[in-house]
Amino acid sequence: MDDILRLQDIGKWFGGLEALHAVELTVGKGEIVALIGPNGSGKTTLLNLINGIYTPSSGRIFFNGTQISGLTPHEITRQGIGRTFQTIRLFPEMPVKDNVMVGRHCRTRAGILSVVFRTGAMKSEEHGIEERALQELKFLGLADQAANLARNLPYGDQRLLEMARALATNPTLLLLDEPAAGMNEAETKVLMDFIGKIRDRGISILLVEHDMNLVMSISDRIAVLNFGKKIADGDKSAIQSNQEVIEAYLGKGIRYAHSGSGVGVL
Amino acid sequence: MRANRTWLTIGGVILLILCLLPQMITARYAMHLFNLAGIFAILTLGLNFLWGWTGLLSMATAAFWGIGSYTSALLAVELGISFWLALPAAALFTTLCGVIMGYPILRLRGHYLAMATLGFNIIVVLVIINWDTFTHGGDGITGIPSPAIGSFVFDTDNKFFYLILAALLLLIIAAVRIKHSRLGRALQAIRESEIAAETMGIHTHYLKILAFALSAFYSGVAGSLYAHVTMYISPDIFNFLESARILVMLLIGGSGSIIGAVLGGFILTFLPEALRFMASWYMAVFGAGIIVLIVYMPAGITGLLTNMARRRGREDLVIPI
Repeated sequence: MDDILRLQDIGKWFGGLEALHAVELTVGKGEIVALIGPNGSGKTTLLNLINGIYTPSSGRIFFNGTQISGLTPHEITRQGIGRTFQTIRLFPEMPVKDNVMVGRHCRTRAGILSVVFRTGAMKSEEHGIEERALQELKFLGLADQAANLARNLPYGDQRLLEMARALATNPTLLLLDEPAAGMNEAETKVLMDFIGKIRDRGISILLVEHDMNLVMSISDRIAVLNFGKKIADGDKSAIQSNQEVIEAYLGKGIRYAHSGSGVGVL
Repeated sequence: MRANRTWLTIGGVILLILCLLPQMITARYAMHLFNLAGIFAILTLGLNFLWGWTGLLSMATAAFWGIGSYTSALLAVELGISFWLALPAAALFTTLCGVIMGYPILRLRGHYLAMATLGFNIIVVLVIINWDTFTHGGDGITGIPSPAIGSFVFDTDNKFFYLILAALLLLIIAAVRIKHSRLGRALQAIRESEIAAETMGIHTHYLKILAFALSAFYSGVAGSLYAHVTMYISPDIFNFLESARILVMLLIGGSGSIIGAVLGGFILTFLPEALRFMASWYMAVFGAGIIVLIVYMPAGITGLLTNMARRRGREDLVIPI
């Protein structure tokens, strides 16, 4: 079994509200899996559970065979899961380059004494951090913004910066939370390219998205959440013809025609 | 971080002037003010780690200043330990206290954190006053010895200034190195977005404790210097209002900026003297000044200068540390 991520019977309660119920999900090595569903279906909650911001009320999460549910976010990041956020959470008052350099924190070790006494090891580690940050910025086309403060970047570039920062943590699994939100068609095309290139680097991707064009073009597999339950999990044609999925997005009482390229409303 | 030649030259000139200061100033009180300014600069630098870089509002700076002072004074007066050992011992003990205060309050935010640290400051002063068999209580500690190297004794403010200057310089360099390291970036990341910082692999609990430790260390050094230059300390000096004053120093100079912290320490030490002519109006003016500062200049003097430079596209005019 080549699954790097496995969610086993995941449930999450917030007080009296059941946000997720018996969700099972896997991401295979090198796969791009999309997680879709109407707003409020629990997609971001699921991502928060995977990267440790929440703990599951029931069920367990395995990453490369090790249980990660219950670990703190920084420990999970250290294991190799990177993440971007639905609402952009950059470090706005820090330069673009520094934002990405922060991503190297868990892969470096200079402590307070080596920093204060500026040891040779610390200097070469620092050099490596800067190099890697510039590499990731170059990869995402942001290299010329390196000295600019993060808050001065245009919106689309801020989303890319979040990705550069997450890539700097050396993930083997990248969680992308609505990376195309607020992007126009041209920006989305660029994003799609980048996601493909990230996969080519050997990083598996779990992608939460609303943009169906993006989802259908790039995903190997699509899982659908509705009201906290998984209602479908399969390739794009399976999802497109799934009655429950259609009802979840468009409601009942409408008849549909299914043609080769998609769904039309009669 | 590349050291810009012009800024280094400016720094060198300022350093030279400071070195010549004790040779030029004969009025004892004036020299004493410079010593106090240096000590407050160190205290403000310490607070900068917590508030300026990590976003943790601590109202306990004076408490750690007091712990450093009392530790050094008691070691010297009760056990006859030389200043050169008492200072590091005081600094380390104060650091330990900083970790002890920080650990249980890690999850507190904003006002709650401020209140907890305020409480800590009050407790420390009360302990010092009431544990009088150990600390000499409200009487304070007198006769704190001056440092000596062989037969040379630092028994005047003019001589002592060199010690304070040396300490300040070393602590500034340490702060600069920390700021431009993975630790400094991690602390600032926590201020900017704690969730994102944690998600980027930063062990936020550990780093917050580090911030408390650094701040306490600096305060401990300042405390020891203070005890041995004023030669008399008492508990009422280290009250929480002083903590608030140190915060104002950081705000005036520019929170987050190293030079800002030093500047704030100097400005607020000399300001009461410059405004002495106002007599009883001074407090009112001071209070009004703080309000104006917060509303119109929240980034302090260095922040204002940085913004002005950036707006004109002159990144080279931005103070680098």
